[in-house]
This record gives sequence, structure tokens and C-alpha cells, in this order.
Amino acid sequence: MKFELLQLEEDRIRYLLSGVTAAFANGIRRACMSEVPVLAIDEISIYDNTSVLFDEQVGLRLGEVPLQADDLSVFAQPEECQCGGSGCPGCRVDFMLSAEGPGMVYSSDIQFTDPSVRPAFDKIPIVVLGEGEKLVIEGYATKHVGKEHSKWQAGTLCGYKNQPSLEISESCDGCGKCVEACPRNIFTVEGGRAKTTNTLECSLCKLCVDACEPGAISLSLIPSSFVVSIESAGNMPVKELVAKAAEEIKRRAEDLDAKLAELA
Amino acid sequence: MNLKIIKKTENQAVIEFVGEGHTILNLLRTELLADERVLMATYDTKFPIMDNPVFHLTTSGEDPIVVLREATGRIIGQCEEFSKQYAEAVR
Repeated sequence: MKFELLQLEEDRIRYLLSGVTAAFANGIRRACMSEVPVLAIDEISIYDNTSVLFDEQVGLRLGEVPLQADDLSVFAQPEECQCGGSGCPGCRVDFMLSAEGPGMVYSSDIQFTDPSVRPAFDKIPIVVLGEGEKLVIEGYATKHVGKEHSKWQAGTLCGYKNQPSLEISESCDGCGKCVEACPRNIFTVEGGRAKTTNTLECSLCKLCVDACEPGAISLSLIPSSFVVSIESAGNMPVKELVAKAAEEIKRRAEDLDAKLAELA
Repeated sequence: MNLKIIKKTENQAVIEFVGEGHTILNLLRTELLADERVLMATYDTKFPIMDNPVFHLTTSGEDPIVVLREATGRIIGQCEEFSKQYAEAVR
């Protein structure tokens, strides 16, 4: 296994992983999206809603607001909590939202009782209130996984492709048709011959193969090498997300091993 | 994770994985198919979201539980190596 970092920002990462099976690359991708637990608003009580949106729509919009916590490990998932899922400060974070029009209600108006929890972004619009309209909501957020509902999804755009490999035959005369055809600007003509520069950017569209003479440019995929890109919803830095996804797969495999040991 | 043994013979095992999905099972299947002693390794879910996936494993004589444990060991090793290399790269 060989890991090569291509790009790392607060909310997105791109890396080249070689010497693994597609199942492993996909396992990490799936785990990022559906197995890493995060906080999201789960149940609400609406005391007053005279806005133009129905109660259900306001509830849905609140649920989809990504929440950040200083330390996620202090919260337990309700079914694993000491309280047995009935609700306690260990598995719930209460919040209050009250706003009066005219004006826009933003995600920053959600006030959590726990100061370590806050919306990941301050300017997510929830609803526009007109003159005299009111919104008073109380509720709580819980920790869950994306498999349960997309509001708990920690990774949003997660995908991978096989590493592309482009080969140009010896007969290239540097006509430059491939340079024009390629939408990702991978080809350049140097010294009367076409050259590839940043093959990892290739989208596998094969326009260059069609533009040139048959068999002159060959595009193939390296089966054990993957370009993976993961984007975080904002709940946690993507750096943490990928590490947690790998931990999650490992935890499951260890759990399975322990269960199998009991059987043997 | 809970396992339910549906069938177990000398070289065959049919196990229901309660509450699991493709994330771990696809990895397990790929890992098992790379093993020469495995004749068949596959899983299916009768109806998605309603039923639990059922894993079918047939080996050429080896105890299927032993083969499964070796495969999970390899998955754990892969995860550890990934975590190690990842931690170094993003440091």
C-alpha cells in the first residue's frame, strides 16, 4: 500500500492510494459517507410558527444544518448511551431557536445549551419572516451515522477513480489534435511530439483517443491504484473524517473477529 | 455486529450479519476470493433495508471460520497500514 497526498484543505482532500483493492478504496469512501457518527438536530417541539413554511419544512431545514462539536467523543449514540436511549445530557444537546420578523432566520440563531456545539456555518438561511411573524422552537440534537438519515452524513462528495495511464505511440508527429480535444488540458506538444503533463486530472473521456489515429493514443486504467477525493459536510475537518472512517472499518473487522472467535 | 449461523459444515458456512452492509461485507468477500482455499464467497440481501445480508462461504476443506478470521485479520492489517501512512502524510 502506498499513500500519496495530492491536495488537502479544511473541507476537502484528494489522495492517490495504490496497491489496494477497489473494495478497500470503496470501503473508505462508504465509511466516510455512512459510518462516521456526527451530531444533527433530531427532534423539535414547535411552540409558535407563523412563518410561510409548514412546521415539517422548518423541521427538515433545521435537521440538515451541519453541527460542529469541539469534542464529539463526549457524546454517545442514543442506543449505546447509559440511559438506554431514553435521553440524557450524555446523548442529547438541547437547543432553542426564537426569532421574530421581519428578517431572515439564519443557522447562527440556533442557540445550543452546550457551548461546545454550534452550527458549522453561520449563514445558512432557514426561513424568511415577514412583519409580525414568529418562530419559537425547542429541541435537541443527537449523534448518529449517515446510514440512518442523510442529515448525519459527515462526508458529502466522496468518490474515486482508477488512476489513468496514457500512452502515446512512437509514430506521433506532434499535430496537436489531442491538445485541442482534451478538455482537461493534459497534453502539450514539445519538440514535435505530444506529451502528457498531469495525467491524474484525466477524466477518462477518451476524446484524445478519438481525435488521433486509431491505436496511437491508448488510455488504460491501473486496477490497483485509485485517485480518491473526499469532501466534508463541515461537521469535522476532512483530515479527521478520513482517519475516523479507517478506524470505523477497523473497529468493525475487530468486532467480527471477536464474534468469530466465540464461534470457533 | 451480531452473527447468526444458519448453516455450518466442515467446509461450508452460511452466516447472517445483523445490521451490516456493503462497507464491510464487500471488503470481506474480496479478501476471501483472493484466498486459494476459498471455492465460493458471496453475500446477498433478500430485500434491501428489510433484511440482513447473508454470507455464503465454501472452502476446499479448511474450516470456514478459520478462513474468515484470517481474512478479517488481513482487513485489520490494511486499515492499520492505511491509518499509519495517512497520519504521516497529513501531519
